[in-house]
Amino acid sequence: MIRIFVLGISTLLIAAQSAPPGNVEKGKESFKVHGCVACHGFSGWGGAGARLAQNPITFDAFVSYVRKPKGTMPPFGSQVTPAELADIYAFLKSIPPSPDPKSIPLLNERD
Amino acid sequence: MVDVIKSLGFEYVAANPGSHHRSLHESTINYGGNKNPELLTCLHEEISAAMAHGYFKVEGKPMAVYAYGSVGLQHASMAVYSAFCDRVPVVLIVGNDVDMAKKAGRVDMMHSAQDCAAIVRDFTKWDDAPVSYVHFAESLVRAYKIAMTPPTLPVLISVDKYLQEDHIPDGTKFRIPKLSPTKPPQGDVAAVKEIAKMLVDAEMPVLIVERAARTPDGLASIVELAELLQLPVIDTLQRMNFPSKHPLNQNSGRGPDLGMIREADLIVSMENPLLWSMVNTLEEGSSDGRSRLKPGAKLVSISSLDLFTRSNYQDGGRYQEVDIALAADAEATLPLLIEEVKRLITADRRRFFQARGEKIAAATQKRMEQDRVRASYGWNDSPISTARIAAELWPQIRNKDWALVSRSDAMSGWAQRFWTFDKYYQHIGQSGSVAIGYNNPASVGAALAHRKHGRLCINLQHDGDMMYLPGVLWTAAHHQIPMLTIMHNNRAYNTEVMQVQQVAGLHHRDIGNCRIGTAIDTPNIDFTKLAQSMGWYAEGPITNPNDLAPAIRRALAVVEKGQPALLDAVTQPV
Repeated sequence: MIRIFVLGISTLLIAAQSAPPGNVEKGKESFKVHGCVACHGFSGWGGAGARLAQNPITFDAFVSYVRKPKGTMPPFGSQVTPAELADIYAFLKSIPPSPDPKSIPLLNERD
Repeated sequence: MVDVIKSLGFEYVAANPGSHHRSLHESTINYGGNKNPELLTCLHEEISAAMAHGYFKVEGKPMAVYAYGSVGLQHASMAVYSAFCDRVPVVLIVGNDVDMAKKAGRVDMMHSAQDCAAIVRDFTKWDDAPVSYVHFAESLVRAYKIAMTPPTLPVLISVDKYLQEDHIPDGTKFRIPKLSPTKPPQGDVAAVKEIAKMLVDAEMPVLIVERAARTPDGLASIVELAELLQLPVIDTLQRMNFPSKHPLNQNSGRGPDLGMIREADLIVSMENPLLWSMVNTLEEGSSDGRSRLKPGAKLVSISSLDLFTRSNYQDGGRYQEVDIALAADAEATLPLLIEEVKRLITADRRRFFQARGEKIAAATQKRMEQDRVRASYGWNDSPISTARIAAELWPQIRNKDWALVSRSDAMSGWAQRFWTFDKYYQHIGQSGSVAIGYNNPASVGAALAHRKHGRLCINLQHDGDMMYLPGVLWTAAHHQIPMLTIMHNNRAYNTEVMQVQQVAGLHHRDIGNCRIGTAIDTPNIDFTKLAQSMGWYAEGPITNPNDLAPAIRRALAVVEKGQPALLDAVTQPV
């Protein structure tokens, strides 16, 4: 069990290390231009689609899912280049966490 | 004719002017004193009918609509269809000009039809074209009676222009028939007893309510039944069927939580034409549904829809097999069902129900906590999240007598998740047809019905819908109908963006192109100027979420003085 866990962590680290450097600003623009925002929101917090912000997956898994998604998400083929995918990945990783809901008075109103 | 209309107690008649009903128009404002009914000036017949749609769901009585022959009725037809799908009575009085021998001009010919009602017959319950005053009186009273008998639906009376305008000899006396309302049909007693026994014996019964509560009594009955049995309630939000924060409520705001269907050994569905779609799943392109039901689960349907059907439209949903189909009005049947359930509950069962209720309540509490976390996502983002809008509104309205007059699931249903809906009038369901264009005029109609009660009306308004019938803003200002409209301005028909994207993916084509024909930008619509141009107080575009609270405060101050106000919030896509 422990061995598998260690192996899993190593794989994640390798995958994370293998993510090409991306440009956050370009990624933000590509996220919009390729229409990702319609389902995932402008900052990747989700909506009709899944939450991408603060929901880390490896770069390989990210690319693999974009190319061959499940469910209702359309597959993005060659129109999204590998460089753009790296930019989008960098953008998604750059999104800061949302505030803790417990720290937002409006979300803690009790009737 | 106006005397007959007055006898039915209409508060309002909504109309766009036209020559075929000019006499009714003039008689309403002069002979009738423009009171009961008061003429509402509408800038499109679809506005008239959609306002009548929204009005009924608050008032519980229909609004009359005057429409102009073939052209006006065709304009109104989409809103009539929505009312039909939403089981809402609207009384349409259509001016026509049938006698070709009396016409020479283009207008009179183009604007008339031999059988005007044919335009909307597929989605009205009854129509007539009376040829005398006695006939008119009987037909209008009959139409009202039919419209108000569950399933409540739109009706139409076509009135020839010359019948409206002919001189009635002095001293002529007509009798106006008395309205004899039909009692809604209660379910067969033996069947109700059987259903009660099934409910008490079931391990996990689930109640599905669509348009089950027609009145506050219906809401109270559903709560009573649910609490007696401590069963989960799936409210499809087509009416205010169940309190939003009730621990037994299985609606997550964005839609009914169907998880409980898989656990149910009995489902009792009330006034729900789409039961099939709730107990089955279907992959796109397939025709074989997969059942969500547990083997051996029993189904019961109680619905007045079994008493009336039309052929052409598919609003009746797919055919669902059930164990008992009770053709009856659910609200009228509930008191008897409750009495039978009470009679059958033993102390043992009551303890069992209590334990079941506690489990359901714990799951509901967990879901509410998850919603709180979801709402925090992108809390400070610009464009603004729809959760933030709902959360910002709540503390400013919660201690007032408020009502949501838009689609109940607007802005991803966040209002349902944060606001405590516990009064029947606090939300009014959906469009029925799921068509764009309903929300804006229906919200004004609903706000009009709330006005005499002094309630604070909130309309969560999607931008695409706003642009179908923006002229209703003028009607709201002209008739001083107070309400706060907050725009969900995502600058697109976003559902359609996603739809076209899906198909582009299927075709392996450019998904990024899919805002062509779906985006509403370049230029961005200035909703503030649009509203201001029609007499509304308006602010925006608001892009910083921290600007929302003070803007809401300023707008509510205007609304509380009796005027409409609009805030243009630029929002996340969903």
